[in-house]
Amino acid sequence: MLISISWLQEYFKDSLPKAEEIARVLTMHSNEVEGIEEITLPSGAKDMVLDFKVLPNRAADLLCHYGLAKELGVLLDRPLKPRPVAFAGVEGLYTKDKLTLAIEDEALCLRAAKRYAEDVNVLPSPAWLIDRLAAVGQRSINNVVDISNYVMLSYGQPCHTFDYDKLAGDSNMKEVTVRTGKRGERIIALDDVEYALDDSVIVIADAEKPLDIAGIKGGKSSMIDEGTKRVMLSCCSFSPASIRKTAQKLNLRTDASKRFENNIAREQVALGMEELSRLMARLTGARIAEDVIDIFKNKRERHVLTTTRERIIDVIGCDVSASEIGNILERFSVCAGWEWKLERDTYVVVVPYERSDMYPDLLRDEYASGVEQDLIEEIARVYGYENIPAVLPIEVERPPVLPTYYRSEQLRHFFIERGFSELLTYSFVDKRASGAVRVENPIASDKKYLRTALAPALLERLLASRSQKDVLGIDQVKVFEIGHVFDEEGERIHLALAIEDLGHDHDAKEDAKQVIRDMENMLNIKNIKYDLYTAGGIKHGIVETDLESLVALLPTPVAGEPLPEQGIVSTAYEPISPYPHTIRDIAVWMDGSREALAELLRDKAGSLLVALTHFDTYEDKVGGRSSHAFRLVFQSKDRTLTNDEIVGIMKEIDEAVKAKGWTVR
Amino acid sequence: MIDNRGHKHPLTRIIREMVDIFGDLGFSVVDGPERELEKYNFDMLNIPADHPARDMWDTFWVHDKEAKAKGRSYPERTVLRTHTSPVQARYMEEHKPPLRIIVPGKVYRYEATDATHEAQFYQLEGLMVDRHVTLANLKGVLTTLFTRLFKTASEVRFRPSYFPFTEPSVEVDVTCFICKRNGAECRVCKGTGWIEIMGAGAVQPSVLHRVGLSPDEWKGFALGMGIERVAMLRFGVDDVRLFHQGDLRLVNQF
Repeated sequence: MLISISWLQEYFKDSLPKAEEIARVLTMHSNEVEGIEEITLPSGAKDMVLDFKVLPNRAADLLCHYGLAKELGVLLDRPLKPRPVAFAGVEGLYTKDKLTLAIEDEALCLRAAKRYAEDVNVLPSPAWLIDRLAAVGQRSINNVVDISNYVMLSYGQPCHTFDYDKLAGDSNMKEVTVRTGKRGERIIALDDVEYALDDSVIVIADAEKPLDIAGIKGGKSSMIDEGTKRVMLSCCSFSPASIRKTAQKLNLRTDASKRFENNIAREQVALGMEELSRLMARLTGARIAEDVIDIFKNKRERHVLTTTRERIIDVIGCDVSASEIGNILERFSVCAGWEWKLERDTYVVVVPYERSDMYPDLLRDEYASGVEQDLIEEIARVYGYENIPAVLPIEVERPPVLPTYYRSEQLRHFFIERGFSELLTYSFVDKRASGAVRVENPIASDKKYLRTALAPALLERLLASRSQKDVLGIDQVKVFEIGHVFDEEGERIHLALAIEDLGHDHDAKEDAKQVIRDMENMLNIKNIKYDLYTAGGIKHGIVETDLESLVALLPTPVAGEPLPEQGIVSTAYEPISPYPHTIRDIAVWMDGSREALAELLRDKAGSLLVALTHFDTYEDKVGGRSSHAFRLVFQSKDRTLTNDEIVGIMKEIDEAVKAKGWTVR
Repeated sequence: MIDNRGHKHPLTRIIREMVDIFGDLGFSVVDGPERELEKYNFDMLNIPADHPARDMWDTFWVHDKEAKAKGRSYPERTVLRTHTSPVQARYMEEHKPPLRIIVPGKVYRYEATDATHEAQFYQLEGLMVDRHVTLANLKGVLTTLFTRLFKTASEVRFRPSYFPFTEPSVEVDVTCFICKRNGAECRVCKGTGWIEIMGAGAVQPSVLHRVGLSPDEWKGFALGMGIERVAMLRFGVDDVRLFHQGDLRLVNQF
């Protein structure tokens, strides 16, 4: 949510600290501020805007400026201005003379409040209101519509205004019902889209038709326009789960639906109605009825939570003093409407309604919400997590290693010793193998299925890696993977390996089988079951085995049994170049060690040399000289190399070789 | 000079380092299925259906109509697990505390991929449950973990956060091991001296209650971190997708 600092400032007498300091305090003690931006408002004034990331548990009370002001008051130990005196409507003008209100299902609509207003002047909004909305990225429409928006962004309570004269019924008496939609009913919402309703959708309706999609979006038929004179002010509270389901079904997520589905407290309806009325009177000159029709049968007591200093210390592990706890609770009491007292050693705290996260949640387990842990968290975060020391738990014996993990590490070690590289590939595949499980919502059309085997991906990677052998400085591709595979029955952990066929008389399949035999020797078992992958008549040696079945045959590792060492991890990673590489071979008659030649080549080839491999030696028994052949692989990180560059480098190498008294063959 | 050595994948290397460090602290490796029941992925972790907290995880659902027709269906809807946390509940159902476990494993998120997002990635979950376990213990374990993992004396800092299955919940920052908190220009910590590294918290009482443990008797902490994030920081790899593409130009550097 975007938060305007000038808007926040309205709730405080003393000036607030700089935006950066507010951001720091919120990030360290509340929710994270992800950005700060200075903006110029339509009036030309400046404002600072915070991008405040409200997490789901606080969406009920922090998705508004007043809610955040209370939070900030607690954190900065700075009281808010007192609330303005209660708004009074026009004496003798009654809502009850203008409309009737009924709620059909009080499990779906927890509370509904309506108030009548007349002599409304629909005008452009004043500059200050345009500025406020602009600061948080909202466009001004007219004073009446802007007021509803402003009340929600100030106090969190979504509210709506209906053009009274557009409601069906007698010109001075309307029948308003909060009910569920009927199959076949349709409504055109303010976004000009027509929605089909059914009995899962809550609507506010007049005697004939639905007027809006309750808690989500207003309807076109009763919208405010330039000619609007009489208005029905509306504030309600709905079942969070119902609003969430409807918003998902209609694919219509709005500022209002977000607040309702996050369980904004039903008690906030009164505050919303009061502020809506006050602003309507002030900005549109409206005469507001004295009374509010407010159907509110779901009343409840404020929730009481208790904890002790001992229990707080038991959770956070930090010796917070009684006076510190008292100080924190007092700040909540002064700035955020909490009440607290200390009874013997127990803190008894009355939580204000708007803190839905600290009230029991009927959807959830009894321990899930409205519990002592909620209170401890509040005290701990205000106290400051930075004050918690780092204390290691008491030492215990090293536990036994999970057999599949132990064997996986042992096998990785085995494969790496034999020159295999470990790959991790995607679980998603494009082809439907028999028995393959399908993903209901695939991320792409070529990622619809879960892999039933590792071999196909290993083959694909083997083929792709062949063209990189020079850059990699390898003469054969050998890879393996350990990973989960899936079918309708369940999932298994597989191990697969792939050995490149080198042509001529090489039998890669036999090599792969030999690796299995070596595994059998290493693990001291016989007859490992495996599949030889032969799809498309490939010559490469690819085998796959079920690691879990294998592990089941092996003894369980005992506690304290060490895993094979994996050696020091390199940290010098070089980004992979997307540009092509160029190869040059060179053979040199020389005396001395071939390392001297390698050194010369590396030195002269410079930073463009990405691989240098020795591939041939020829001894001249008579002359006492040797010829060494090297392959140089050149590649740039940021461009395609030109022939001229390579020719230049090779010329320098030639000269350096000559200078040593050696000869290029 | 032909490179005939084999190479371990950087992610399994990082996991192994964590397994060794946590092993010294008494945590044992546990695993669980990647295709997970909705109940374990969400409900047992205090994330009920129709609750906005579910929006925190973009989820792949598994289609099992054909299997159902053949009578081979899972008992309820399944997902590709969105985190390693379901193993917390699975393990606690089967084992009585005190317990210390870690769960390295693959997880899935339904999201568009780019240099910092992947639809599949690796996480490491940690869980400790005992009669007295505090956030100070969590800080102690993490300080040791990062000091050894980043090979430099590290501090951790907690910030408030929210996860349905921990309370209090915290975001964990670690001191920047690249600039050691001296780099105004540091590309990794952007001059803040801190790196956001993981989420953690005290085990939420209802998570204990659902597996039959009394929240009055038992306390715990849980933690979860992305392995790729650690590997990217440690090795300077700038694209998360490289870890999963089976590219030897990456793997053979390790």
